[in-house]
Order: sequence, then C-alpha cells, then structure tokens
Amino acid sequence: MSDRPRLVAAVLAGIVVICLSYAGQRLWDSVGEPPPGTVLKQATIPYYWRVAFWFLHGAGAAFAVHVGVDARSAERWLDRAPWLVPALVLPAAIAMAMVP
Amino acid sequence: MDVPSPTLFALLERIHGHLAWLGLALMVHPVFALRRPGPPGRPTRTSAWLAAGLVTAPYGIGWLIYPTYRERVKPGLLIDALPYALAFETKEHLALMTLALAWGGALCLHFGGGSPAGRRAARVVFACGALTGVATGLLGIIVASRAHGAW
Repeated sequence: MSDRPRLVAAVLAGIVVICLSYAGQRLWDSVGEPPPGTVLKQATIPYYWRVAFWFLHGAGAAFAVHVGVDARSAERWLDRAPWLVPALVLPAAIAMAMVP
Repeated sequence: MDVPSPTLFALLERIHGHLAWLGLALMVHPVFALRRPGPPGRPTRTSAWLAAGLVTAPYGIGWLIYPTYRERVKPGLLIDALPYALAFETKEHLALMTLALAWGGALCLHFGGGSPAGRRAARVVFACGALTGVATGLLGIIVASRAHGAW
C-alpha cells in the first residue's frame, strides 16, 4: 500500500498542531498580561519562543502521525480533511485576531 | 539585523509587503486549479511551490527588519497609535499561520497530488492559507500606512 496517504496525513497533522499550538501559546501568554500599550519594550521576544515551540509541536505531531497511523486510517482521515482542517485552523486564526 | 537608515527600512518593508502579496496571489491559483478532476499539471504544482517560497521570502525579510521595528518603530506606535501596534501583533500571528498553511498545501499536493483525497486536502489547506493571508496582507497595509521609521 502506498505511503502517500500517511505522508499527507502527517503534513495535515503538523499544520493543524502548528496553528493550535501557536494560538494556545498566545492565549496562555495573554492571561495576566498587562494592558496593551503599558509595556513599551519587553526584555525577551515571546514571539521567537512561540515560533520555536510551534515548530517542535508541529514536527512532533507530523512524526507521530507518520509513524503511528496506518495507510487505511490515514485515508479515512484525509476524507475528513476538507471540513476538519478549516474547523480547527480558522477558529485559531480568529482567536489570534481577538488577542493581538 | 539593525537596519541603519529609515530609507532602507522603508525599502525592505515595501519589498516584504509586495512579495507577500505576490505569494498570496500564487496561493489562490491552486485553490481554483485543483477544482478540476485529475492529477494537477505542472503549472499548478509550480504555483504551489512558488507560493510557499514567495510567502517564506517576505517572512524572512520580516524577521530581518523586526528587531529594528521593535527598537525604533513599535514604541512610538504604542504611544501614538495603539490600534496600529495591536494590528501589527495580529498580523504577525496570522502571517505565521499563513506560512505554515502555504508549506502544508505545497507538501500535501506534492505527496497527495495523485489521489482525489490528497488534492482535496491540498486545496482546503491552500484555501485556509489564502484566507489568513488576505487578512495578514490587509493588516499589513493598514499598519504600513502609520508605521514609519524615523531616526
């Protein structure tokens, strides 16, 4: 059986986890944050940290799916991708518009 | 990288914005091209990879000029035009998602272009990326209208 469905499923898992990881980290950071405009400059750049974790989470998820999901299951998941990917990614994007 | 002059900063900022819109335009192409049944042709595959590349290049330029923005532009924006400073932050978040979706779409098409399910997956990923990309680009235009380097 072809390895392609597993690869596509791994890519999709990586993308979804990347978007959810970034949004989750940003929402987590926003709890207890001082009001916008009251801090002119931070000592560290949280964005860089979020990107680093984003990459690790996405790569980890893609690897886990590629290793742990068989081709038949991957094909079933691919059939759900047209509604599942927007259902997970777009709310994360909207959340980022609401928490700058 | 510390950009030494406002003129160079403005130039890099414009290249960053224009390349991003080019990448975004290319990202829309597979969304429509993949509606046709059958494996994608070379133009669709090429536009998918070019879209990923052309979204990555401005992202890289953004990383280059970000330290200067943070030092020389952002504090003024936070004081004088807070909504624009916040719009920039949102733009950063959405740009990152767009970058991931552009590469995701290109990789889905590369690995799954031979099957209808793989093509559908690539199409939906590119469509999501185009949506977040348009939002990013519009926010970029709004922020650029107010954020100028002046030192």
